[in-house]
This record gives sequence, C-alpha cells and structure tokens, in this order.
Amino acid sequence: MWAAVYLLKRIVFFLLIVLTAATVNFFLPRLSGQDPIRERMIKQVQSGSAWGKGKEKMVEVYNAKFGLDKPLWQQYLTYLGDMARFDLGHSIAFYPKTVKDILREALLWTIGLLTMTTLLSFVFGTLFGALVAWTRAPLWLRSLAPPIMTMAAIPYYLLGLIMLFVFAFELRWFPGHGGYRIGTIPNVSWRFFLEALEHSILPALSILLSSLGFWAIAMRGMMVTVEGEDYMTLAEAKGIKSSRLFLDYGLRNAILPQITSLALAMGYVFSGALLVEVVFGFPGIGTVLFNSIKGVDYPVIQGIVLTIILTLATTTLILDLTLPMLDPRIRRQT
Amino acid sequence: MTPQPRPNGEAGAPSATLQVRNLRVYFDTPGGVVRAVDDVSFSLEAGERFGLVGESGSGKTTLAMALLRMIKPPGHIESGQIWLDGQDVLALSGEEMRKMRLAGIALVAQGSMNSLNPVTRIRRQLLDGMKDHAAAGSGGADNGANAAKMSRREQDDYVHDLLARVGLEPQVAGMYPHELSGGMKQRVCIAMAISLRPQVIIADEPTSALDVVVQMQVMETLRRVQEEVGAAVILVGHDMGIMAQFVDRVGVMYAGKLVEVSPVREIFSRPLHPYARLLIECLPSLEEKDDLEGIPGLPPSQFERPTGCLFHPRCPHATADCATQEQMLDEVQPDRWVACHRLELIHNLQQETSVQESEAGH
Repeated sequence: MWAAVYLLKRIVFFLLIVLTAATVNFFLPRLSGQDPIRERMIKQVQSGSAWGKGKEKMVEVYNAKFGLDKPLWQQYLTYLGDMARFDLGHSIAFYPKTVKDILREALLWTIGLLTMTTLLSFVFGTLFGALVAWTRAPLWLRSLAPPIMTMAAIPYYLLGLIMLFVFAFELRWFPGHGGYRIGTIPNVSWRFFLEALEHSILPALSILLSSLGFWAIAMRGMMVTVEGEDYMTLAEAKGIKSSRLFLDYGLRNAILPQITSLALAMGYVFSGALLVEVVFGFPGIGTVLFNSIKGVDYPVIQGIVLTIILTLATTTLILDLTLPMLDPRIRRQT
Repeated sequence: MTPQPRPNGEAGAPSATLQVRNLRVYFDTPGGVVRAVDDVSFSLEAGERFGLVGESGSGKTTLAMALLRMIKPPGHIESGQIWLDGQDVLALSGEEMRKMRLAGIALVAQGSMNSLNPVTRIRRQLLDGMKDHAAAGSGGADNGANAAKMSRREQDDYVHDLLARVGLEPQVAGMYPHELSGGMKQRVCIAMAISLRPQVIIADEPTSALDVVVQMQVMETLRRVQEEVGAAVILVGHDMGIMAQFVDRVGVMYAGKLVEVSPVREIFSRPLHPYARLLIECLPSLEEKDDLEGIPGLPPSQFERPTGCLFHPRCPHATADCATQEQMLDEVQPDRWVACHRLELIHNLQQETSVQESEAGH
C-alpha cells in the first residue's frame, strides 16, 4: 500500500517539476528582448549581403513560420503542446534541421563522454574512498589518497587546459580538438569508433581525474563514520568475513549519501559538460548549447534545457524509487 | 585447524572453559603507555555466570574486547594467556580467531540500540555469521549448522527457532532493526550470540539502554538461553542489582586490575576488599533515606598511576606499606580472591565498627 501511494506522490511531483521548469524555460530566453530572426539577418548582412526591403519581408515571413508573430500566451500554449509531444521544432540557426536531430547527434557524444566518465569516477572514486578508510586495506592503496584528493581541488576545465597543453601541444600524443578528424564523416564503423575514442581520451581523463577525488573524499568521510558504529563492532564480533564486513556492513551503509550525489551528478552531466566540451571543441551538447546561446537560437536552447530538466527530474525520480530499497528507514517517513 | 593436543592437567592446558592468565592490555598514546588491563587472571567453568564490575574506565570493556581479540590500535595485548576450551586463543591466526568468534566466544554488545545493521533484514543478520562459519574447524563444525548447505526452508526454520528461543515472533525475521523496540533488538542480539552455541558469551552492559521492566525480561531471556546452550557468561556492567540477580561470581575491577573475585552472595554480604566494600555501600537503600554517598577521590589518572596498591590514595585503611608494595590477587578464603595488604586488620575493623554502629543504634 505504501508503495502505491509513494509511487503516485513521486510521479505527480515529477510532472510538476517538469511543468514548472518548462514554463521557466519558455519565458527566460524571451526576457532577453532579442529578436532571433533579425539577429540572423544582421549576421548575413555583416557577411556581405545587403539589407533591402526583401530582408524586412523575410523577417516577417520567418517570424510567422516560427510562430513568433503570435501573442506570447498563444506561443506558450503551442509550446506546451509541442513539448508534450516532444516536438522541439526547428533550429533557427541551422534551419531546416530539427532541434531533435541536433540534440540526437550531440547527445550521443555527450552521453558517450560524460555518462561514462561520471559512472566510472563514481564507481572507482567511491570504492577508492571506502578502501582508503578501511583499516585492513593494503598500504600502497591508502598511500594513493593524497594525490587523488589533491586532484579534486582542481576545476576540470583547468585540468583540461593543462592536459591540452601537455599532451596535445607539447607531446602531441593525442589530438587536441574535436570529436573526430577534420574531413571524416561520422559513420558507424570500428575505424570511426576508434577515432572518436582517441579524441575522447583527454576530455575524459580531465573529468575523471578531477571528479574521482570528489567521490573519494565524500565516501571516505562516510566510511570512517560507519566504521565507528556499534553494528560494525558487533559484526566483527560475529566472526564475519572481512569481505562481507566491508561490503554488507560498511559500504552498504556508507554509500547511501553517495547515491543521492550520483543522481544529481547525472543530471548535471549536460550542463557541466559545457566548459570541458568547449575547451576541447568536443561536438557534444555543451558545445551546441554554447553556440546556440551565442546565436540566440531559442528552439535549440529550449530543447537542451528541457533535456537537462528531464534528465535531472528523471534521475531524481529514479533516486526516489531506489533509495527506499537501499535504506528501509526512508519508507516509514512517507 | 586442529586443537593443540594438550591433555588436561598439563601446565599449559587448563580444565576450565575459559582461563585468563596475567592478561595485560596496553594502549600506546602520545602521553605514555596506558595500562587498561593490568595483570588480570580469572577462570570460568562451563555454564558459569561471572560478573565484571567497576567504575567507568576501569577496563571492563577493554578486558571483554581483549577476550575477543578485538583491541584496536593503539591498543594491543601486551602479554598473558587466554585459554578457551583448551585452545590458546592468543596463538590463533587471524582467520582462526575470526572463526572462534561467535562459534567459541560470542558478544552481546553494549548499547545494542545501534548494534544491528540498519539496512538489512533481521533474517540476513542472523544467518550471515553462521554462513561465514560454514565448515569451520574446531569450535565451528560441531556446534554450528552449515548454512551453505541449507535450503531456504531450513534456513527459515533455523532463524525461526533462534527467534523463538529468545521469545520473538517469526515475523521479526522479515523486519528491519528500526521496526523493533529496544528490548526486541537486544533479544535479536542474544539470538545471534547463541546461534552457534558458543562456550562463552560476553554480555557487555546488555541492558544499559533499556528501562527496568524490559531489563529484567531481557536478563531472564539471557539466563534461559545461556542455560539451554550451556554457555558460560561474562556479564560486564555496573548495575549491582542486575549482578546480584544474575551472576554466580563477581570480579571487581579497579584501574585495570581485578581487586576481588568472590561468589556473589558473599561479596554482597561481606565484601573483603576496601574498594569492593565502598562500591557496595554506594548502593542506595530502600529502607533508609540517606544522602547518596560516593567513594571519595577519583580513579587514578591513566598516566600517573600510584605506586603500590592502586587504590591506596582513596583507601580509608591505607598505610605506608600500601603506597610502596603491590599486592597480588590471593585466595584468602575458599573461593574468595582478594588483593589487599591489610585484609586481616580491615576485617577486624569492620567487625568493630559494626559493633559500634549497633551499639549506637540502641
């Protein structure tokens, strides 16, 4: 019974979050007072073409085409309807490409890079942090703690710049820009996959190295606290194997706050990627967001922000649904 | 793991279930060496209930933890011997010691409110200890069931049987610790402790977090299951009322040393060591409404220990000799072991004062 009520509550909550965020998402870019079509035209004029009567007409036609001539409330309702169908419309800057297509291409890169690095650094950082706090862990492992913890203090775009300089410019071990070589057309093949992998190593490493310490520090603190708990003493007095003591009693209790952080981190994957992606010119969603903000490309900005909102809300929902399974004490409070 | 083939009666192999000889547990601290347990010797017969009393910091819990070999750095067992059922506990390897815990010597922990893993069900916590003792050598194989070979059904029966022994419903198996009351949690801890039928159960202030009614119920449960499995019990605590009702013999600890070990009735009616006497006099009486009296002075600092008898600065009977000469635990009467220089004199003194008091009363 509690499960049904709990589930319903969470789902209603989820929908409310998405609706609120989508509304803000609609109004925020429009508050900037810029005119996207005119902006685009001005760019064309700057690059050589003349501003004649025809241009004025074009602005009108395109405004009608994108529905920008209608009153704001009507635009809002249309927008909500489109969002519900996940119809994100067309990009203004890359017309006639749809926002969905742009997102799909960019998301693949971002998911490949950031979801992998976030999950990897979570798994290794958490495990590492737990082992560092575990008095029975080997000494060589525990002595790795200071350098990894230090890495956590460096922002990852800065680490990215350092790596770029050292490994791409000085040593020339890895390519320094983009997701693949200039001239290559993205396709599904081993060759392309390896090429993309080669380009992903530096951005991935800079994210991984700097976030590993973050997970490790948090986990070590929790693990130290848990190790002082009475149930750890009793478990040891029960003659339980060291591995079970570590996993079932120590890690199992210490990991709970980490799971919450992971859900939030997964949501921030998209926005957090921006700086690293821009530094490395990586064709992910961060770069696309960066460019579309520069180009006042409403539909793309909205599409990306909506994706971020949806991921955050979804990971929070997943968190809400899994935490009671991991920590039975949460169930009572609903 | 094979037990050392030492026949009973030989110098190294005591016949008692548990024998502790000259045990010393030291803590290396920046301020110097702290002697938490200092030259403690005692023995337990099978099924015997032994009480360890003393002030906070007197080394009771440290002694209990030393028996389990669970002293954490900077502490360590400096010297001494612990014999459990003919086995030299201090000579066991780490893995052998792990299997000795629960199967040979089990713990019912202090402050059991938090002694259970909050995120797993009781069933799992009752089974995991046994699972990790599967196919244990000596101590484990003969008295522990082999969970690895059990079917789900057999495991259920095993868990339900354990719960029934401590007076809990089978449904408790499927519950989480936060769904249980304090008394129920402590019962679960007792069920765990007897799950492999150990020779010795250490109960470290098992009822300190419970109200008095539940305290008695839990102690009754502990007594019943202890008799069923035939385990000896070491009850650590400072609740003299519970001691009086539960144990057969009492050991009084002061600053890491045992100062008196006597049968419980005798120590209550006629404590011999001055510290034991003051401790028992501290018990409030229901008949007279008196000011609560403590023992004057403080226990010695961990770093600056008095010379001679550790209690002499607070002892009303101390003489110059007490300040210079240590007195070992000695059997002054049958079954009564006391460490005091001035026993004869104090004994007479006590008789005198009691005569005076009775005269004054009339």
